[in-house]
Amino acid sequence: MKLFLRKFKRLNIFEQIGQYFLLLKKTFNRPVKFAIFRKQMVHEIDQIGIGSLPLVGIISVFMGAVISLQFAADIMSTQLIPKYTVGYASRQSIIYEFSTTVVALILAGKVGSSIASELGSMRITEQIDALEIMGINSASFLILPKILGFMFINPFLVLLSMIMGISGAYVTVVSTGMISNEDFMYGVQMDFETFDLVYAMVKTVVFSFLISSISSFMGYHTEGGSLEVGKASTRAVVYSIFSILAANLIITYLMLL
Amino acid sequence: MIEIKNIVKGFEGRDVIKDVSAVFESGKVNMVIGRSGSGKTVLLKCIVGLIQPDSGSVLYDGRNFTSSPENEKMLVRREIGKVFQMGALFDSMTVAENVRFPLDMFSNMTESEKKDRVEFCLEKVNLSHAPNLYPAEISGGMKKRTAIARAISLNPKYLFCDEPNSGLDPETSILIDNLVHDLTHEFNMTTVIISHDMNSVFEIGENVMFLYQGEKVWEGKGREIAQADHPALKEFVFASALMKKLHNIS
Repeated sequence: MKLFLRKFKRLNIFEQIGQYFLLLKKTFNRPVKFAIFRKQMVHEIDQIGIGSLPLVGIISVFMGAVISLQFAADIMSTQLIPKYTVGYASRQSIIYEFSTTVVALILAGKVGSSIASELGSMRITEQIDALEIMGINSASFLILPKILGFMFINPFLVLLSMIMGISGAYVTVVSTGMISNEDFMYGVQMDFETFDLVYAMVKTVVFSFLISSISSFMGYHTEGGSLEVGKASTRAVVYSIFSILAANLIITYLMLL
Repeated sequence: MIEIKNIVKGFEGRDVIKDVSAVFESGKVNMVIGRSGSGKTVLLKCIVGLIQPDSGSVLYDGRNFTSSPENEKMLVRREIGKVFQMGALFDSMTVAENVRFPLDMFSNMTESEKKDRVEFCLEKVNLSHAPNLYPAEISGGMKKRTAIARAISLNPKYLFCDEPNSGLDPETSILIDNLVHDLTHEFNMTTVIISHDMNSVFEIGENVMFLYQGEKVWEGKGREIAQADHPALKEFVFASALMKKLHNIS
């Protein structure tokens, strides 16, 4: 218990949370020049969004395929459940959890570590100090385009992931003859509610904000050398994952119950 | 002119800067010298506002910088050019883009005016041949010169250099010293250089301040430093074998 308390004290968690909100306050400021801000945001969208397309696409196809196979295996072992349930259950799993939460966890690793290491390197090589000396709000200049860029592009990534996931499921169970095309298509369309997509998009936007802001915070406050940049990168991923899991629980409770 | 009054800064209960006051004149190369760990860089960071001093004030041409709100500090900072110890060039930008960056952010120049200004600054630092190279592709001396070009691109009133010739060969070192000296006089800037290179002090130091364990223990003209009688300063100035020999000869 003493060890736990000592570790907790060393973490200085309340101070960190305070610093995180102060950084957010500094970040959400009017950009010095809107043309430059727009250019940076397009760059971030390209780096974060377009750069993650192959990863998200490939993972989604395979996960969709595996999810549908698991459902098909269970359902085919009994005659009581209609076969179209495979399409329905695959769609719900993909929209509710896989394309939103699992993809967010994957992106926390890819995007989070990239943001933290980029900002951490800029901090230790005094590039952030150079911006401040020039009279530029470094947090707003560097972090705001990342947060807004990721919040803008991530819903498109998630939509793509849903399409790829359901396509993967379709190809796997229909092309192998486990379930007919009609059954699968009927299941996919059955009881579809727009609210499901709204729920998924709300989660996606919140997760995007958490990943980009927490990772930026970790990178921006790096102190020391290259070793600390690595540590900041790891912390960014770990804290982003924890916050995604907590936010997922809260949003689900608030929106589905 | 920059005036610092009774600056005190400590970390974890230990005073690093102890009640330092000084005046840095415009149109002159003002140098702050001292051993490693004497508090030079901390003092410079206090002056430019990267660190908030525990007490004391910094005045830029009479404007109290230390107690100004952040938005006013930002305006003063736009009149500042700083050359960092390691250059602090933006990795993702070429040499020309680094120099152009402050112009893009704060000037209302047209594209051709910006291009001309970048060419002018690069010419000043003898880098006209390397505008399209990235910081990773150039030498340490070129990085320092790019940093100087970037620092002067907006015609700053105040120029700060943190050990501008550390890690450079003697020839490049002299080149950088002369460059800073000439720019200071040409544009009537208030230049403050942090250094522990005695060559630079003798070459370009007009007003020199010696920091010892966070305290200002000597202040004078560059040419007077060899005659100074403060024991820590004497030890510092004549630390190298070459300086000792020269001292004995003279």
